[in-house]
Amino acid sequence: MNRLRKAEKAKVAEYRDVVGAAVTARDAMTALEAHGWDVQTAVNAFFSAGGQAGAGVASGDRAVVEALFEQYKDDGCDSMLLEGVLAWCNDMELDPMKRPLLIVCHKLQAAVMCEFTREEFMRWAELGADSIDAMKAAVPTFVAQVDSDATIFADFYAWVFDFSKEPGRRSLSAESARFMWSLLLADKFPIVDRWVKFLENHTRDITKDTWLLFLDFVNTYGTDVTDYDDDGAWPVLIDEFVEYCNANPAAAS
Amino acid sequence: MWRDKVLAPLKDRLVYAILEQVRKERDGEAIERELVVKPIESMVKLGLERNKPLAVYSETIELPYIAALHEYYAAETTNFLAQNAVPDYYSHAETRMAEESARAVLFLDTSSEPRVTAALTDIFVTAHLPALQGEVIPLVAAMVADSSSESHAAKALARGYALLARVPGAFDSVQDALGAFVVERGLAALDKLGDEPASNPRKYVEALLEHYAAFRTVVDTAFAGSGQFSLVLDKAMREIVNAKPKTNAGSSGGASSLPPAAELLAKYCDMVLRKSSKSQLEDAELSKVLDSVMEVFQYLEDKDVFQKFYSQMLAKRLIQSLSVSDDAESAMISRLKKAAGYEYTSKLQKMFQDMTLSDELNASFATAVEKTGMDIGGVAFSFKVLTKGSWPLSSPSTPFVQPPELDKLIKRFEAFYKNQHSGRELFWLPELTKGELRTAYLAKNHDLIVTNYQMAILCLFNRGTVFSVAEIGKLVGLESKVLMRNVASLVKVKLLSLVADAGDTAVSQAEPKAEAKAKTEAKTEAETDDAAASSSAKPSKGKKGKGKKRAPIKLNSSTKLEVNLNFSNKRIRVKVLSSLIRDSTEERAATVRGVSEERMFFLQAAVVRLMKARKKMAHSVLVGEVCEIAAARFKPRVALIKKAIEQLIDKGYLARVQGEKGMYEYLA
Repeated sequence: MNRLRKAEKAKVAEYRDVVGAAVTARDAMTALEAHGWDVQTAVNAFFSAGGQAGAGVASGDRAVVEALFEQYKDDGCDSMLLEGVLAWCNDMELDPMKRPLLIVCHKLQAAVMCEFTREEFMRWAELGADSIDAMKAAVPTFVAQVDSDATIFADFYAWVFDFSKEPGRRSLSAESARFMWSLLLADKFPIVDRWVKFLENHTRDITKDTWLLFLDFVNTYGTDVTDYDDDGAWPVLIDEFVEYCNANPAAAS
Repeated sequence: MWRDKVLAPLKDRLVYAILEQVRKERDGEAIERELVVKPIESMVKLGLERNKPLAVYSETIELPYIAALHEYYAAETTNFLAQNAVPDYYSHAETRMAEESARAVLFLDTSSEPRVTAALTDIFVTAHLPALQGEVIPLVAAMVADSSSESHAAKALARGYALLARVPGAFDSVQDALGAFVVERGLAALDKLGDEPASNPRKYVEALLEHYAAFRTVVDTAFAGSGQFSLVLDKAMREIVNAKPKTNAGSSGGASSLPPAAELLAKYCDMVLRKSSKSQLEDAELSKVLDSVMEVFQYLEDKDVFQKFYSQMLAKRLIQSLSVSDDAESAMISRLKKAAGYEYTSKLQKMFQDMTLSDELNASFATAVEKTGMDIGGVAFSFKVLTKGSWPLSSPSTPFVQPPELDKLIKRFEAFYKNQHSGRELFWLPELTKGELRTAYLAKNHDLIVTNYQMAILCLFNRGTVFSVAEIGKLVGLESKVLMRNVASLVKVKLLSLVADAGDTAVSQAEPKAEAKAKTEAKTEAETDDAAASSSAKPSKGKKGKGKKRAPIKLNSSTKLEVNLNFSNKRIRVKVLSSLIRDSTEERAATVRGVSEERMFFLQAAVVRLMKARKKMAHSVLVGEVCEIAAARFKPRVALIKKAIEQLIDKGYLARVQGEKGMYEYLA
């Protein structure tokens, strides 16, 4: 939350100037985020929702979102489980195996795959969407944010690691890691396909360090590994990958 | 006056005449030397300009003289080299240069000496550098082949060295070539040994030292003991010693990726320090052998591997009392301590001390037994108390119930020990224990040398006649694999025999009177630990199967066994022990595994220590310093250090500094 950039901080200040300081910075941020950091729209939303402090969107929305949650929630606990999530995905027309759903999960700060807690799902209210239609409409904005802003992408990328690993484990299984790498990076960096192929024979879990550093790696050497610094602090697995690339240049294309 | 009026106009002709005389002398004609000396002297005397007293001399004759020198020999040396071999040129150049130096002393002013020397170097060495350098390695090869230091090659090489030594940097390329040559020859020499070192590590050490000695002679005699070449030789030796075998055809190399040197060297030590009937070395000889081991040791990178194997073999020697002598053992340990430091040998030292302490303990226990008339069951004993952590032993792999015959002894000893050292705990390592039993049921009685397990099995027959394998297992508590092995070895030496058939035989066999298999004496060596136990060693002296092939012994849990009353053996003392031998390749693999675990642990500890002290460190600096710290034990691959760092990051001890590439920070 405190990792706002300057421009965003300014917008938060501007927003609070207009709607009143009773709105906390955090609420302001949430409201702005929900409206794509457009101060005017957010302010309009604030007043049209009755100008209540504490919620960037109409407080009535919470009840509607809550009702929606109840509809998908599992009977046995206070969460949406696999079945509910799939039903919701279906209604949302989201492919469970594709990126947009992952981005939505990140937006909701979901902790575990195929599961939404009440608290997580209720973030829809803060995001200003209280119907399936509104939610659907919001998805492309989320995707655009992630795709256009490297900082947001990095945050999203780091979150994916914790989200994808099995609860209680420190590392991510190589199989899940391969899947996620293909999903997140393959279209931007062609080398990721080779990386995933290279990892086919790798059975050990992927550490968070390797996961995080791999993003730095593709950002630095994503198109060309010839200048790779093997005396650098890169994880050993990446060293081995570059060695593998250099040893098998044929497969480069 | 003289200078301007006389010399100036005559100068050219005069100089020409002088140089012509010199040329003639070079060609071997006799000349009137005064005709050269005098004019030049007079030119020196013309040093009228006070600040540059030799200006006239230098300009008029010195420069032309040196130019003539160049001119004459440029052609001469080239021709000579075209028609003669380089070694001949070495002596030719030596002679010519000596001649010219002497000539310059005679004809020229002493101030010219350095210039002449420099010119000679240019002419005879620098101008033909590649040819001269190129001959060094062939000559080294020839010299190594002909071992006498007085050989033609040795002399030529010394001359060549003296020539090249005149040009700074002339050896730089020779040095690399020599290093490569030494390595190539060394590896070839080791290669030639094939698999032999595995069974006879002496060959390996000898081959290395022979190789070293040959090149040491080259450096000392031909290269005047040059420090630069000594370094080259040391570096090459290090490379040879730490090389992995090229061909992995030999099965010995397959078990690990480690170079074989450390293990071979440790084995060689074991061979020398182990009591053997074959070849006992004299003290002086032994000391020489140990020194030779240390010579190889200093080149060893995997000092930790050596330590591991060494301590394992030392443990066996000490536990089984197989050392040649205490003096020899401590001589080796002190050599290692000197070479690798106190910490390196502290465990070895402790093991060695444990032996002395155990001897004292046995003596005082014996005295106590005698004084108090304590009942220890009438058996002789010898205990070894080993400090936990210092010995490469692991805890027993099977539960075990000591035979009641030893009960009293063990209980009394434990009480005695605890009385002396309160707070310490004893753990028994029966796996490493052996004992002697005397038979009392045979026509000719034998002393049986058996393992503790075998002893327990045999002692059962003091109380019964027939036992099934399952019953034995229940009574002595052994895990089935160990049980089978020990029973099988007793059957194999025919101390026990299978009861013919199940059913009635068993009953009928019960008829022999319960022979007194009175055990008159049981000698026990028990190894104990101070805290928690660990054990793995075993007598490695295998009993060689006799020539005849025996029918395989079929044992299962219901097989019934009885004592073979017709047992006979030529010897009074019969060794049964053999079954204890554990698979040595398995043990070796465990050792190698242990080494890599310890390395990882060591590296992580080093990284943490450094990071804790510095808080923040750059990757390359950290890797460099870790390498330095590790150098005394082993040479870590960078990838291994990186793995250590990554594991520490993963465990949350370190983190990468946000926004600063290649920096780590310590997390408290």
